[in-house]
Amino acid sequence: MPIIRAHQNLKSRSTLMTFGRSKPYLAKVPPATLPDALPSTVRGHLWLAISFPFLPLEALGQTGQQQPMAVYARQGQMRKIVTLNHSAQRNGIQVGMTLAAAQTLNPALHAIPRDISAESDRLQHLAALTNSWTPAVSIIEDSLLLDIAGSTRLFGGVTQLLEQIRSWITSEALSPCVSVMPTPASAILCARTGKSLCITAKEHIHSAIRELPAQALVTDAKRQRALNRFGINTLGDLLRLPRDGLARRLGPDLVQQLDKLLGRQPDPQNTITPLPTFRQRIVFDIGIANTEQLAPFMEVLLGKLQAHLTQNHILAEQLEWHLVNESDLSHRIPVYLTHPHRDAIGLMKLSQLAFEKFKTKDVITHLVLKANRFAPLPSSSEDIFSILPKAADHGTSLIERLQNRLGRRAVQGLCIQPDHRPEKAWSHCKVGETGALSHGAPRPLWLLETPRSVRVLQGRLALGDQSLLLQRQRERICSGWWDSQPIRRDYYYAKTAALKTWVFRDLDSGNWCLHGIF
Amino acid sequence: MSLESCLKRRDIWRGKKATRSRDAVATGFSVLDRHLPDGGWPQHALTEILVENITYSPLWLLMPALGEIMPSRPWQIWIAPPAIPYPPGLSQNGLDLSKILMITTTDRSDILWSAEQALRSRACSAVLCWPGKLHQSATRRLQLAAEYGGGLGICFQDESALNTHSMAALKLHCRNTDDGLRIDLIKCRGGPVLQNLAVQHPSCRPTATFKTKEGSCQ
Repeated sequence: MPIIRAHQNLKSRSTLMTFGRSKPYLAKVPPATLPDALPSTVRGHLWLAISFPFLPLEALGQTGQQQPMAVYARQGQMRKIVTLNHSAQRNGIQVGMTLAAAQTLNPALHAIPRDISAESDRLQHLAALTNSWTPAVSIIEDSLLLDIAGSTRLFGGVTQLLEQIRSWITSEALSPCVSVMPTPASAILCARTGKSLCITAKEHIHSAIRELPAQALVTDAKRQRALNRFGINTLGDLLRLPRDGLARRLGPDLVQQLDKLLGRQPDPQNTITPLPTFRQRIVFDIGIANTEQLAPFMEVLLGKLQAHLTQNHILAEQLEWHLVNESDLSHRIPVYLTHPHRDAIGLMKLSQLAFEKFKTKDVITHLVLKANRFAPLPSSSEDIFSILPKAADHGTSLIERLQNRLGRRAVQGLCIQPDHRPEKAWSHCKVGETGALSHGAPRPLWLLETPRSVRVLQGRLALGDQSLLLQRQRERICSGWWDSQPIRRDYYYAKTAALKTWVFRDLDSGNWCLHGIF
Repeated sequence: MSLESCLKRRDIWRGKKATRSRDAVATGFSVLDRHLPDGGWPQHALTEILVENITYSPLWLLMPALGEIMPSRPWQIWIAPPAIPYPPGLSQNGLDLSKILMITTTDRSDILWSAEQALRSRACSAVLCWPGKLHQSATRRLQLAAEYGGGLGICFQDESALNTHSMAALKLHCRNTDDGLRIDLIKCRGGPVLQNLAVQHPSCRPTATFKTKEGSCQ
């Protein structure tokens, strides 16, 4: 029931303003039990929940607007307001109204349909960013839940960690609410009702949440009506009721919910591991016709990529630029990396090399940077006496530059193949790879791609105007009958005064050919 | 300017040196080692080798030197060779194939660009390239890149480059004659220009030959 919840969020937000959100608000617990300072380390779990009351507007990128705006969702035939901005609130429009009613209040209201998938993308993105504080992040409907127990010592205590996360999320989202509680359910509940608490002990949960409206926990309308009939308004009232009677009247799951809230029952959470896939784009207001003008935008995207890689402790193995033109056709420009890295300046240089060869007359309307393949950050320790400069990197960066300008196929290594046929006894390979070992018999330094026929003049072989002298050794190579290129040849070493060559006589045709040069 | 700093300049000719400078790598051929000013192929420099037929570029002339400097740096780069540098043969001549990088391109500007990049990178012990005709400005760029990077830069060209001006440190002309290979030093920084140095192919020393039905021989 997202509509009702969002509605409550907004109502409680106005009361929240009086607390001030800059400081974590400590719950009203009896002074004797209130710890002087929060412990710097926490055993077990400690949950930090973040709620985003304006998520539907943020997901649509409409947070900065001054005009009244609202996001609506369809519910059967009705279109109901889900979220609205402050200027729409001033018009008296409320969450849960129908769109028609809202537009009667302000005909100039700009209403946008809700985009659930964009909201979930945004939550995924934020969840990935929170990974810098803790690896245990869950997405609970429209809130984030972080288990921060393991990180408190590293960040100097709960309060410092909370401050860091709060200041980060305030810059990322509109009026987020952050709450730290010992159980996941209570953390989510507090965040959604706009209560910014920081409580680390389970025994304080009860006193902290007893003032909260019972409707925040019980969301379906039937039970809410039942609670109203009982005269129960707050969670404190609800918790005072006998368990068995409550289970009989409102269902056993409500009792379970209350138990989870207070930490009497385990409440395991599914943590997400965000996919490291990176895909960001920049849309140009005015199309760009010259690829050189793309450079500043490329730098922006690469900066974001670097932040993403640092965040996830990974290195990029391959990048891809997509230039999309007016008719939505995209040009793909891959950037090859011989070894994974994440240095934005280096990646920029390589990208520029890759762009050098790219020519188009199209007007580019947006630029996309994609990275799909990643490698883990190697965990090697630096030498304490690292006086000697490391030259190891020079080699790979040269190959990257060459490959990005000339293409991957133009820069290759050489290796020996285990085949008797001379033309098949070698191949190109990936740079730095090694193949089979060399054969025993001497082989030439040059091999002609197509053997050159050698004239026979008066019983002598002649290469140009010089005669070839055959040496005694003969090497018969008959091989390859299993595929379509069999050969039957006798190979000889033959010399002129200044050259030593490798010639063969084809046993089928009897022709002499020059095949290699020593 | 002190005498020391004066003597450090590479463009000052000091007559015949007794010892090989550290900036050169021995060619492996005693005639060349004796007559080249630094006692070998100059490193930190570009060497132009002119040949009659570019396909028969005398690689054997470079093999001992290439093998010697190979361990010093990660790569040896061959740019646009006219035929296939044959891996079994290279391996038999002591080259480590995993350190060889082939660049196959026909675009002249790409050849020069990659040669300059490779020479400048300090990652290549040697850069061999077959750029076709080289302009003076191109030789200057490559020479400067080699001076910066410190590798061995070798450019093979045909005989049309005999009379062109070059900024390379060393320019050789290889002639195939009836008595074997003859090398003329056309330009030699820091040393005298010599003609007709006879260099013998290591496996072209006279041996017994035989006669076949169709073929040659003595």
